[in-house]
Amino acid sequence: MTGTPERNGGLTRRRLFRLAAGAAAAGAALPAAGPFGEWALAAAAKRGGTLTVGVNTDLVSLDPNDIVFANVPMFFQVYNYLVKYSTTLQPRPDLAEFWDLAKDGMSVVFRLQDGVRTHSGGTFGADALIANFHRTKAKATGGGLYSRLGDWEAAERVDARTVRFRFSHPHPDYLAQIARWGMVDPAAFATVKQKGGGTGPFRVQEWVPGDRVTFVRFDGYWQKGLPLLDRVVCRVFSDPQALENAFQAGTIDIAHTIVNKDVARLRQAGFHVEPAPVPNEYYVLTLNTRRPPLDNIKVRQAIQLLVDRATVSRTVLGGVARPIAQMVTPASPGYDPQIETEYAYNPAKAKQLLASAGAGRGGRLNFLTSTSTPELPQIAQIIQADLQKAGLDVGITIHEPAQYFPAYFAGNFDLNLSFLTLATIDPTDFTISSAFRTDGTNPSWLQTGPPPGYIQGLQNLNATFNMRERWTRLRSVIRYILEQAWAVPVALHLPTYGLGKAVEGFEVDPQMLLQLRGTWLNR
Amino acid sequence: MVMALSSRTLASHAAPRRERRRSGRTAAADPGIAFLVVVAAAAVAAPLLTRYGPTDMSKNAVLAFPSWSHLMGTDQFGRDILSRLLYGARTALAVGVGATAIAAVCGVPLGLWTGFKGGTVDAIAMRGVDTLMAIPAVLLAMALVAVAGPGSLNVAVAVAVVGLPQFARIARAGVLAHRRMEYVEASVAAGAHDVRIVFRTILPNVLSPVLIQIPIGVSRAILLEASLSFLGLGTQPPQPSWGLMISESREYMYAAPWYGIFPGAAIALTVLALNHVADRVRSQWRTDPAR
Amino acid sequence: MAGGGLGRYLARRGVEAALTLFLASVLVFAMVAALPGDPAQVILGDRGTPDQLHALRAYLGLDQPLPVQYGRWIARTLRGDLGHSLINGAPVSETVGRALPLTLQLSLWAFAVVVLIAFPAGVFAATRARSRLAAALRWYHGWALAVPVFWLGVLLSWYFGVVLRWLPPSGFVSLGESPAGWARSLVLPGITLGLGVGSVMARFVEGSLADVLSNDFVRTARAKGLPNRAVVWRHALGNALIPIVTVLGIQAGFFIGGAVITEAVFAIPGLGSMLWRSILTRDYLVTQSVILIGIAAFVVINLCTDALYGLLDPRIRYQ
Repeated sequence: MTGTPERNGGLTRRRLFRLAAGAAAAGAALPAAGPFGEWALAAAAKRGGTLTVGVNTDLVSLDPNDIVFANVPMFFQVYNYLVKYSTTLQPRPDLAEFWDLAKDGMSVVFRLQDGVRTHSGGTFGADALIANFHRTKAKATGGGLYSRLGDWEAAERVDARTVRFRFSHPHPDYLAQIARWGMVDPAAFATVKQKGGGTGPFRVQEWVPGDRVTFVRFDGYWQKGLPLLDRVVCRVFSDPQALENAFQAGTIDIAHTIVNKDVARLRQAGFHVEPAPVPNEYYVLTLNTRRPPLDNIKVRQAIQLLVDRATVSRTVLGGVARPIAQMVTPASPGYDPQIETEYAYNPAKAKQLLASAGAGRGGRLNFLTSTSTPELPQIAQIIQADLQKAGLDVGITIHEPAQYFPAYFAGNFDLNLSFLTLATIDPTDFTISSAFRTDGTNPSWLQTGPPPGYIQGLQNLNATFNMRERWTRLRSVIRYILEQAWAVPVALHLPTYGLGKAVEGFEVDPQMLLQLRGTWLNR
Repeated sequence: MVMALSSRTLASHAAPRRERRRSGRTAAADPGIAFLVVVAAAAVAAPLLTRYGPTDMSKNAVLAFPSWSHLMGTDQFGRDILSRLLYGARTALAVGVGATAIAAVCGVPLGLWTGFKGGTVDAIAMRGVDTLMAIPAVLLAMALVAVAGPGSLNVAVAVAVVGLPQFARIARAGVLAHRRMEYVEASVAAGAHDVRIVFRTILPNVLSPVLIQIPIGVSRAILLEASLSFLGLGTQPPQPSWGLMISESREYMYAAPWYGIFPGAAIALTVLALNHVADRVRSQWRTDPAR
Repeated sequence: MAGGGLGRYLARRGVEAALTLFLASVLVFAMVAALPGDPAQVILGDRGTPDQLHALRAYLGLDQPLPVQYGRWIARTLRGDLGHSLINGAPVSETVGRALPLTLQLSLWAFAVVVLIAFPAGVFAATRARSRLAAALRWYHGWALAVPVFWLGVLLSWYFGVVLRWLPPSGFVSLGESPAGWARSLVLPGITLGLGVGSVMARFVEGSLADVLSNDFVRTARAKGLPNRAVVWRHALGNALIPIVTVLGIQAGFFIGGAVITEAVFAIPGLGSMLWRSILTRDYLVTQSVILIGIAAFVVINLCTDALYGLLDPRIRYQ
């Protein structure tokens, strides 16, 4: 893995990936270390036991197609994905042992692992994969993944465990599109929302909404020797403080997640708290370009320079999640350090820009944000104070998500603060978010859609399959967005995990999925 | 919530005797009234009493311990807690007094009129009042604010709706007690208009219990506004409000335990003073029932 | 006197209660329906496309006209079926069944706090009205009534949980998990919820008892040479008990509302937390059902105290 961008990268590596170090001694327990490098088993690994994970958001469903942020972290227990991403952002085999893209880029072949069993006792082969494809391509059952598979036209069975997918046109981000496509046991399709069911290392034993989900070891799991734990209990804490208290008291083994500002205090008290190794989300200010004075690019650029990222990071985010001025994860080759200095906080220059933008600033600006995280209203207050100081009149409206989203999508805002997805495993990842839609449903560009320069930039980016080249082309897209100044990144949205003393071999992938197949308890 | 209820129950119950003995003192010497005057004056004169604005951030003095430059310390953004407390008093008093005024102005005539007319109108109105009273106050206010949207005016209206049934009930009880009295019967016999009878003849005679309800209503309203802001539905940041300050301070319980003490004490003292005034008005009325 | 009169009275009160419940159900439905926001958006988040949103709203039945939605809800509720959560599909009756016992346990603790404060303090203040301790108690009641519930909770949690570390600052441990942990986890929430009501009741007990103590029969009992303690606790308090029970009933109903804030402060996954969460996510069915259950509890408790009143004191006439 590459060095993590966070301050405690060394410690993160040691704690999170201790298993890898023991790989040499492991041999026996796992199929060759090769593709499963991270899961090589330490000689000292103990089997059995119950691991309790405290989470601060309840699941919405157990259907992997419902990719809301509350659901995702625990899915890796129940479901396998065709590929998984390493912390170096490389695709690795998971349920697919092999894949091959056609020369013309119009189709791809996946070969599944041999001997994959489903939780209901069936085998997971080509037919099951095709059934999953049709389920996700249907609007009613596709959930959040429905639109992600828009370019995937057809699935054909090649042999018992090989499937060929055909595309409507070549698109180099095909692997990233299915990175969150969890494979459901076809026998469980009808009840998957409530009961779950896949091919993963753990079965769902019971889901008590608002309270807990209990996973038990799946004995027929295809990766021999895994998982190590007998049981994983995922307990819901509606209050972050209560979650932290439970972690400090030792009633939970893993806290998912610790509020950023409390990390330093907990570390001082001797607890292990680690940020996710690869950040994939960020807090971002978006502007409604349809409304004056924000239709004036100079006003937007002035606002961009009035975001005091350093203060946000230092105060609200406790110095854990660092400032970021671009939509790209610092761990990727597309990250451009120069942007960070170019777009740094500069109130003096902002005032000049505002002055040159002329009069007609209009009335009070409506700054919309939500309570999705406790940090959002706080960050909004810091930004509001700086805008106010520069002479812009700004009022904050805080809504809970249920009320926030309708207001946001209807364009009922001038400024908006939310957290969105960074370019992480693929340069186009950030475009999944609403603020970067290319059509008229983009809330910053309602009706008209974003300017053609942005769309051309994306087309140019997707015109090559060469990853290195794609990351390079991403830089010019990002520069274009920042110049147009409709989205102003503020700081990383970085989950931090409290890890109990007994927890070994805990892993978080670049999509924030907790991977507990190789996790064990040292007690 | 519970507090809100308690003041209501208190209204109907014996004030401790000691209060009665004291009632001879003048209003100015009453500690409750004196405190309320100080709070009101501080709210009005807030800009003169502090050199910090309630939303001014000083990014390098975050969560500072109380000192000479910040008498009550600073919050998570380096805002002066004293300044926010003083400006927060404006919110508390405006919502408290405003909501109670609305509740009294709407509730009292409603109670008087339906009590005087009786019959179907009365039955329907009282069923409505019962229904409103059956919904716990915090829930009712929460729902109303959620529908109308946050902001001080909406909060005041919601709190007024919650307080209105009490005023209606008290006024109605007064009318029922007086309706069959000779002086009322006399006016009716003299052919006076209903409106005149209700508002000119009866109202002055049932005013005392309504007056007692006013400080109780204000203290309930202040508690309710603080509760709503605590739950994130009332005053919106960065505007200062006592309930909001307590809510925000919760996250800094470890780092800055003093942060929440000041707004909490401000609410408690103000409510204490109002309840004290209510007790005083009640005992005065008891010792001087001729009023 | 008690028989026919009480029966007729209770029947009338029953009809009134049913009418109140019906009106409350309409009011609650209307209020909840008027809440701006959309549960479908909570499920889809930032990435849902407009046509996905339409499909989901239709699936959840949110595209139906409001009277139809009300009719369905009320018809189902009358059959005892509270429906399913819009957000996670869980049966509401099951979720309520899990959350309600927690709120009842919390209320029980709070009730114990109320009784422990109200009777000793009330009786003492009524019998030794001029003592210093009685004056101190009155001063204390004034404070207990003025302190907002949420601030009291925050203070207790901070002082006993964070500074002294005597009790857990928040969270709930079930009785099955650990009886000691259960008791410890409910001490602070119980005090938070019960302290204010304790003082209300103490003042009420004091007032009622003082009235009774000035009556003739008490003087007679005293004249007979009965010890003071027996006079107060047996004769006087027995007579003062009826109004006290009534007021206690009303207060118990109010625990339902107080539980919302207390459970929020102490992160107890009871009915109050459930209600709060459902309001935030616009899980309409859950919100409506929980509020209606709360109102029904309040109405029924009041009906029961009315009946109790009649049984305890046959002198009361019902009109």
